[in-house]
Amino acid sequence: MSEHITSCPRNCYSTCTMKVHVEGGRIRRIEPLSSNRATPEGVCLKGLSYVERAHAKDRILHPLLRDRKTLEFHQISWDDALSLITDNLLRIREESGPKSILYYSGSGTKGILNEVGMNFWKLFGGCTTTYGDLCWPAGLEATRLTLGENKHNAPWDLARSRLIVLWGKNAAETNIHQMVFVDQALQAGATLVTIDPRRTQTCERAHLHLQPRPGTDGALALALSHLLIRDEMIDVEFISKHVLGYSGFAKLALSTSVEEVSRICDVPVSSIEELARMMGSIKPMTINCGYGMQRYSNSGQSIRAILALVAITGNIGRRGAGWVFANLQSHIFSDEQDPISLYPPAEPDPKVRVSISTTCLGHDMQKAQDPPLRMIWVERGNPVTQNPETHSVLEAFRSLEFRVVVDQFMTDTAREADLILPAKTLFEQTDVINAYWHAYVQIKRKLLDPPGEVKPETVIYWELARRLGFSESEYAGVLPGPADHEVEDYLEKRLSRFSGLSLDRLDQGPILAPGSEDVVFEDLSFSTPSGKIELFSEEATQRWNVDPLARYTEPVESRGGKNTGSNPYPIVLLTPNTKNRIHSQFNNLEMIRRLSPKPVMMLHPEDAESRGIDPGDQARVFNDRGELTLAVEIDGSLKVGCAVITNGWWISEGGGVNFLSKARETDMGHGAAFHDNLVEVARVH
Amino acid sequence: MQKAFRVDLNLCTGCHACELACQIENELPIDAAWRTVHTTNSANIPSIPVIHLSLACNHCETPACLINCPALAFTKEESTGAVTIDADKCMGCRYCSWVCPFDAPSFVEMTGVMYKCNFCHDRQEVGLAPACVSYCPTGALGLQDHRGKQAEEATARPVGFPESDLGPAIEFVPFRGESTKTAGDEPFFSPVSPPPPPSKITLRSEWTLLLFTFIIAVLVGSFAGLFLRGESLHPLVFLVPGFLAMALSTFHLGQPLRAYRAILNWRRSWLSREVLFVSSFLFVGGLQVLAPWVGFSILSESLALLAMPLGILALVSMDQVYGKAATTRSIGFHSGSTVLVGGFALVAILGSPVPLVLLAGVKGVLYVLRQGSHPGSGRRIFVGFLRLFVGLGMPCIFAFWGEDWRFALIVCALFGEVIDRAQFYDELEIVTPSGQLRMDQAEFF
Repeated sequence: MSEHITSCPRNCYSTCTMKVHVEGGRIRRIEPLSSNRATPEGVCLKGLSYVERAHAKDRILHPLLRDRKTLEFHQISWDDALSLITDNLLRIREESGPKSILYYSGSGTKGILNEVGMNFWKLFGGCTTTYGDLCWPAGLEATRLTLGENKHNAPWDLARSRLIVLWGKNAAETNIHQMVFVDQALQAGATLVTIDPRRTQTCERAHLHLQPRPGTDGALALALSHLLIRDEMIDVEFISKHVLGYSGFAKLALSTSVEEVSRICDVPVSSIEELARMMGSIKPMTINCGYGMQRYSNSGQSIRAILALVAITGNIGRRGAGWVFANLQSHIFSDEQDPISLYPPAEPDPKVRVSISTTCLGHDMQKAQDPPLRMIWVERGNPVTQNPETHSVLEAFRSLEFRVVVDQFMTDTAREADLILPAKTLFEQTDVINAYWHAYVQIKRKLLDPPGEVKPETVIYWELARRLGFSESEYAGVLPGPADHEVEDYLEKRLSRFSGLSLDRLDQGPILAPGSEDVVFEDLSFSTPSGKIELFSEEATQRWNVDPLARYTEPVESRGGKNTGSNPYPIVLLTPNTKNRIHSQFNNLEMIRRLSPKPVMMLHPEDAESRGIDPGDQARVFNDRGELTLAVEIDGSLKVGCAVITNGWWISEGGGVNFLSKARETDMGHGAAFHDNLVEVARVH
Repeated sequence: MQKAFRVDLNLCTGCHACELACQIENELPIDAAWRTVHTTNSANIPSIPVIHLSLACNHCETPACLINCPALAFTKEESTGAVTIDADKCMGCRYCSWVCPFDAPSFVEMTGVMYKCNFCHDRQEVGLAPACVSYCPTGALGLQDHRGKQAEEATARPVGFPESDLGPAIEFVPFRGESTKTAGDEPFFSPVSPPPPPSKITLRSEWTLLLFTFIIAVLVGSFAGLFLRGESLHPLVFLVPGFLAMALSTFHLGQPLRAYRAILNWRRSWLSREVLFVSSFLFVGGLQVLAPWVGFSILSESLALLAMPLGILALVSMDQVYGKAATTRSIGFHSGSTVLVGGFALVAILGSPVPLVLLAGVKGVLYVLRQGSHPGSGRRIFVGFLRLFVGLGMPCIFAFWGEDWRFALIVCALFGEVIDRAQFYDELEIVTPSGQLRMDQAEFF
């Protein structure tokens, strides 16, 4: 048995370090490594399940080609697969130019080597690709506009907070390691407030739990500001020195009626007052917003309104205080930071057309002209299940001539492919990864030879480049060679810009990114245009055409808006994440499936009863975009008027939630407003 | 040094990593982990906390499994206090799962033996904590020196944790969450009760044991009854059911070939004693009924005098076996006990009205009391009527009608006794954390 340090590259806050035991060519067990201060105790159940995933029975181990007639997949040789790809690439490039090929990559795995994909397409002559992101851009952009950049105090700093506000974040399920610091703070006497239409595991520990109507967080934040300003519970000195646009913001807040907000949010005035009292009197305070609550059409502005609470109470640049959303201090390997890197470039790249909104993938793919799209290459993603409006995505996929999907498993997207290429797991190629909660740079070590005929993506690209006739001098330095040492050389070169980073050193354990800080903004200088915290942002108006102040507007699909009464879809469908999956990954494993055998919809007993639905009944959830039929479970503490189906179920499991969602961008950042999603529910007889 | 699990109810979020850690470390099949996370308030009813209780074996100071195992398959390790089972010594009788209120040992069909948490004894020997503790993502599970009574008194019993006097080596950091407030007036609604956990003892699964205990009780009773009447059973009437009973009890085992191990723990286990006394009774009784047929009538009486106390000890042991089980309601002396079944068989054989009426009266009262204390007894009125009228009343009437009705008397008595014994099995329920949780939760509603 051998023991190795590696890390989990999933799109997850925790990004754990793992001590992996390998025995007889198999992953035997996965132990924690305490030198990662953010995740010292142990990986989550998904991390443990790698023991199964690395050797899963249903892994794709060979290139698979779909028979055009029978639609069945059958195994073909790599030689045939690569020839087929090369023929298509050359033909399509010849006939309609490289931009008729869409390169789609998701967030399935982290790593420096992910950049090799775009390197290849640039070498090839170009492609079309996507902009925006399904996850977090509204919050990233709101934070960038307000604070200048996305960074926050170290995870362990939360233990020093006296007031923790987890706003729409279910850390117990999506960031379980944060709960350790929450508990440390609570043991030291801190107060915990949770704000969530659901009552999650995280809320269980809260002193105060507010359940606003989904999408009304911005209004709630303005009402809190109103009370803080009215009752003079703000940090006047801090504001005068470090905040831009306070007077305008104060006017906006004071003109916001608390009673009206109470009605909009469906939260009692007394609760809003209680929270305002806490915010005004307990210091230091940390507000931590999750990513689900910024997936509404108004959520960039909501996040800006919540950020104002941090600013006017002076809770920034101090231990135990601040704004926690995304900590990009370890994102040191890309020249451009998120969210700017997610936007179409200011100066269009002559080779790469960035014209497809990830959020509106299906529609934009079909709309593309000059040239229209003919082929797609998908890696690290499952867009058929995970992007909004599945019907439109499916339609767009099916209108293409040639579809290549690189994946480990037969996902809904892989099922739509003409050619499936087997993908590596985290144990089969060395890479270096960053994180977005802690600031560690970590190694992801190759511990196993890829099984079957699996080739890492970089090897596929390298072989394609040779077949396409590029010479070694053309791809040297852009595409690493297939040997392990060539991959390591490529990585070492990327690490060499930073003293203190090397593969050898990373093999000893995680390293905090050079220049990262435990307490951010300590010098109270902000990289905004004014150098201050901007509650008034001209850029917000210029770039996104929103009010320069965080004015509240109803979400587009809102049962509290003007269209109340006539709306045939009175239920807000929330599609949060679960501890059992990372989006659409993991649920195919037996170890996970035992906990979540089938998709279910949670309803409040009132909503279930008024529709004649008993627990366990099958119900149809539908709107104009699509429908699903699934079993109903009762959640006695869910906000009335909400339905919850966790996202990431495969369509083949009966749970593709995005049949119902709308391809609609958030007000800023080109994110996906997944939760602006009204539906109706009916019992299936 | 006895080690103990520490469970911090504030840190446990119910993530189930401990179950997976256990399954991976011990290379167990899916869903066969030795640790289970029990969750309260699964319907998320407002103002009632949701608490997760991660439980495995508690490696008790006085482990009921070890004490009651007839086959001496359990060991308590010196260095850690771990209670381990040797799969090669287990005969798969499942009795340990009846006496453990924590649902720690479980039967594995494939191997026919019991398995349970071994406290990761091997890991502890090299200075590592058990896998569930090591891999818990929040540190909610811990390992510490067992503080015994002192700790038990210091911490309140959490919801779902069964009460016992076994000295479970586990300590809880109590849940602080009572202060949680939910804004707004949450409408009250009738909670959906989680389905009751499957009972470990059901009539359907234990019919072999029903037959075994019933046959032995009737054999002992009729053997004694006939002896008192100066008659003797036909060897076949004694030997065939006796052999059948032994066969049933053996094939009920997961590992029938290890049946011989059943008597090894005669010093401590009533199950061992039961096996010992039943087989001795059948052996001596068998010799007694055969003796006249092979010309040894002279030994008949002394053999009978030897067989009868053995039979009585067998029936007492049988009742003790059930008495030691961790049942949800204490069993006590009840109308379906083997001693009373045997006793009634005896008076039925004797057929004399006065003892019969007296005993039938006692049994009737005990039966009504047991039924009354059992929830849902309303549904059993018809069965109860049959049991009382046909099984107790009719024999009394027949007894007064004289010797001609003896056969009908015996048939009715047997009928009644079968019902009683069957109902006894049906009503038996073993304490488990999931059952306890259900009961504790019911108090909230």
